[in-house]
Amino acid sequence: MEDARGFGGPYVELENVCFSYRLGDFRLRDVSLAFDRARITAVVGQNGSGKTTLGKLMAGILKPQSGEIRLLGEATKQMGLHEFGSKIGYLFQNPERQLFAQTVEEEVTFAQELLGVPPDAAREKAGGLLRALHLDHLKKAAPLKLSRGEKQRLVIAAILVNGPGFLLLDEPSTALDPERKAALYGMLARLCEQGIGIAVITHDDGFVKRYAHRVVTMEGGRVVRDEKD
Amino acid sequence: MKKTKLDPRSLLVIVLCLSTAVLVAQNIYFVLGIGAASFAIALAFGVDFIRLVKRFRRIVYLLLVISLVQSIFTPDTNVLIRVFSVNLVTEKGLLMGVKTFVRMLVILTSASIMTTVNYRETVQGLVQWKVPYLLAFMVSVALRFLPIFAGELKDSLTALQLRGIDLKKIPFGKKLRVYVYLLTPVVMSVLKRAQTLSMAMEARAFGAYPSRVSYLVLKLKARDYIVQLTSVLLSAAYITGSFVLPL
Repeated sequence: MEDARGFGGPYVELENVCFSYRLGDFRLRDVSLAFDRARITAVVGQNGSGKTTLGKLMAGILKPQSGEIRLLGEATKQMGLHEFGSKIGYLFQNPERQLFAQTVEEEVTFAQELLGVPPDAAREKAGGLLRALHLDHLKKAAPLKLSRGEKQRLVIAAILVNGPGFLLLDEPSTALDPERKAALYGMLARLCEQGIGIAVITHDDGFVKRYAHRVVTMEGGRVVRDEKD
Repeated sequence: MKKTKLDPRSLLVIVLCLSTAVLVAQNIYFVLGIGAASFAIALAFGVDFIRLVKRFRRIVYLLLVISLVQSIFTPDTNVLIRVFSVNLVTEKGLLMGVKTFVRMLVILTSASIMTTVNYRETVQGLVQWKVPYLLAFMVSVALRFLPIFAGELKDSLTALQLRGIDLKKIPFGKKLRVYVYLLTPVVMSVLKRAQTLSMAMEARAFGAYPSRVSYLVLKLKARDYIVQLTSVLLSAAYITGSFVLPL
């Protein structure tokens, strides 16, 4: 699938990526993966297998010690976090760490305004996203008072306002009841249909079986299986 | 980082002596000497020098600016740098700036010396020094949560940048707004943790009895007495010498 920016290759590409933390024995070893748009990939594995580290490397939060990560074919070594942020959206395990504003609407608009988008245009863009994510009735609510599921949707709205072509979600179903999980997964499926690539770090077998087009299994910092539809 | 074998109270005495001496001393050479001594002591206690420099890097820039301001606004007849008939740097100002810089560095180094001992033991040391338990407990809570809050602040900073915001390119006028956004999740987290912690403490009947016993009891050894006595005598001599030889 060709990207809006005219790039036809994988959206995110990791080539022989190795990473280790300064403290501890964990090492991510020689990971080579490519992620496309309009596909849902589940990244699975036991705790400590390297799923979150892989996600943070893809989102630019960590930098590989060797190997290369490319975004839309472009090497990311010199890229700043803000450049990653405009191409990849990353949802933390705890969405509260990504909530900054006083109201739901401001949460989606403030970054745009800081980037120079006129307030009216930012509000219009936010309105559309909030409607799509069923949050428009909460526009004036305080983000930190929302339920966990609403907080996640709000963070996704705030991420999507930047127009990224890829979403990375780190264990998004933690602490959600089955109904809210289903709502979140349904929303991810809809985003995927709109052409957004999605990678979900998860322990939820139900999600993997029903929604994932591809399952990447990690073990001890290595990719041990990569199963596609 | 290796843990020191000294009692935390000995370390407290050392850092108290260092910070008092550097604040009281007036002679520039004495101030520089204390600065060098505090670094040497930090290294001797196993503080990682590279980490120390990295940790201080950003603060050092701030300290340099403060010292420069201090230097510029201290008038003196002996002018070192003059720009368009404005006395930019004077000899007295330069000395003041250097002293300010070293003094703040010593305080930061002292804090890093205290990290070589378990914070729980430090609190116990304070309790055995008859510091009210509530106060010591507050110190221990603050010490325990500081790295967590530092981590959360880092996460917030990352999350904010992932919204496409280049912090370096934000105009000065909007910077304050960014800082408010940055601090909001951290402040909320502090309040939330404080509430949870107070509930957990109440559930364990914190403060229900007027007296407390401690499982951990610290005992001063001969080396602790030697270190404490030496520190006090040396800093007293140093301070006296600094006044006798003012510069």
